Amino acid sequence: MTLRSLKTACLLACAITPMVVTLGAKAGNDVEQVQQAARLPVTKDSSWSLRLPEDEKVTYRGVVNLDEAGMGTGSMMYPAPNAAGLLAAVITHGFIVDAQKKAQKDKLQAEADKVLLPYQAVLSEYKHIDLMQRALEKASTGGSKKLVAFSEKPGADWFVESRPVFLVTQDQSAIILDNAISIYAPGAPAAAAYQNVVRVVAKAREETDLASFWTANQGEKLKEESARLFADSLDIAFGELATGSSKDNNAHKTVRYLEGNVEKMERGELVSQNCSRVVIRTLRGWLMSVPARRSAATAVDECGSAK
Amino acid sequence: MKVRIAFAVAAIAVFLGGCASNPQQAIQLDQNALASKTSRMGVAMTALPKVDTQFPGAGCLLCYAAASVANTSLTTHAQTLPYEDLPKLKNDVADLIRKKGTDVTVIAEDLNVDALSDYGTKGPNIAKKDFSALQKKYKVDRLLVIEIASLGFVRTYSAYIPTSDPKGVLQGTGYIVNLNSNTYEWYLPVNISKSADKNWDEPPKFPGLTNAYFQVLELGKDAFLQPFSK
Repeated sequence: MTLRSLKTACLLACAITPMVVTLGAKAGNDVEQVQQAARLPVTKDSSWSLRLPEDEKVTYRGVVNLDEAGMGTGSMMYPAPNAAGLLAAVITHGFIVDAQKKAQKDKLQAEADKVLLPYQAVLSEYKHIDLMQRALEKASTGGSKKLVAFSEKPGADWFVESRPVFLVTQDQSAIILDNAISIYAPGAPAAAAYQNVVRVVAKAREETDLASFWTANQGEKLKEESARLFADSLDIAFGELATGSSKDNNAHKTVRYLEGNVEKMERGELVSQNCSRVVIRTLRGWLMSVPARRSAATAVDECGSAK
Repeated sequence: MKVRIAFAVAAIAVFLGGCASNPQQAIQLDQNALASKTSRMGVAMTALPKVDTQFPGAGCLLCYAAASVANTSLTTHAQTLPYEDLPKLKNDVADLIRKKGTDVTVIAEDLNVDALSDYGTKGPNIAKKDFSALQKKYKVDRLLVIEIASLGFVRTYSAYIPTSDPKGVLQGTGYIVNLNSNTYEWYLPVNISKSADKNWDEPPKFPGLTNAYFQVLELGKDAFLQPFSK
């Protein structure tokens, strides 16, 4: 190798490496912001408002499995008359692969969303105002609760913003809620006192015809289950706001649970548990409430008082 | 000239011969043979690999350098991750076999399979290495070996370009060698990969990928334990 070719190789490496770093980083942008709160009392007499999201329709998606995603390995012969030509070829290759990866993920999600086809008639009519009104009736936190328009701002009461996204398992037996929640303290509208994502995984239903079960009576079961998950997520968030987070106080463990009829695992700290539910703080700091079950990884089925 | 051609043909034949050797196929565990009370079984593990990152497809030297630099923070993080109770896997397997009435010995030391000599006879279900010397050493008739070959994260590449997001990965093999015949009585390749839930690129602690790593640890242990749980 001549000195000149060595210099060219070094220049190429310097040029390519940041580009590859950028391409890698693209796939994982938008990291969720998670903030933990100072201890604030939310008493049984506290009144709070829940703001409606800007969008009317409630979002439902199918649970997608990305374990097989990726384009695999493959050799690439770059047309390279010179260093600049090679660089251009590599950049072009990067854009093409990125587009293919995105298209593949979109296709996998589209395939996963097909599980919602039997529910379209119900879901197209299910609005946030209905979901949240039902959820407010089920939520146990505080005293008086009211739903307010998207245009409302935090004021004298506790004020909650929420962005719920529901997922339906591929076996249709369970609904999962991912709820991004911000809670503002009374008289402190500038910054949220508490902000986190709360995931609630419903216990799997065992009905033989699940589509009929969820959609019967204009989807009453599906609507009620969704509202219950939403109410649970608010109670969990208010609960942590009241007690304060204890990040890294408990040892991390891998908790096994059922998502529909599929066993899943999540690494995190045990926040609380009882005979039916386990709440953990995930490695991202999110809270996750899952159905309790017997497990080799952690004995989550032991009934007892919550920690 | 003819000598050169003959030499070239011989070289190609040797090269292609390597491709022709079949990988060992999976062998189902015979539950009846497992329950034999007259045979002593040893259970061993090879040394666990370092938790690390791999970039298959980044074939050229410069490509690999670019991939390594692009994933430096993930590699650094991977090397901080614990094995948890993976080293205890041989004890867990031994406990399950013991419940079937078999006399089981857990080999405390790491087994170095590479140090064993090659076995003279080749054929289906015959171990490539000669395990027979271990019969006397460990006073067992059969040896169950758990080899974890790879643990950490894998991200596929096509030359300089990543073609997948990184995934948690555990690859390994479990097998039982009959030390009298040097043949496999059970052979199970395990290859588990899990993607991060939602985003993966969350340095420095990569919580999504770390979760995937602990998932493959659990799933990997399950895969090795499951045949003995029946």
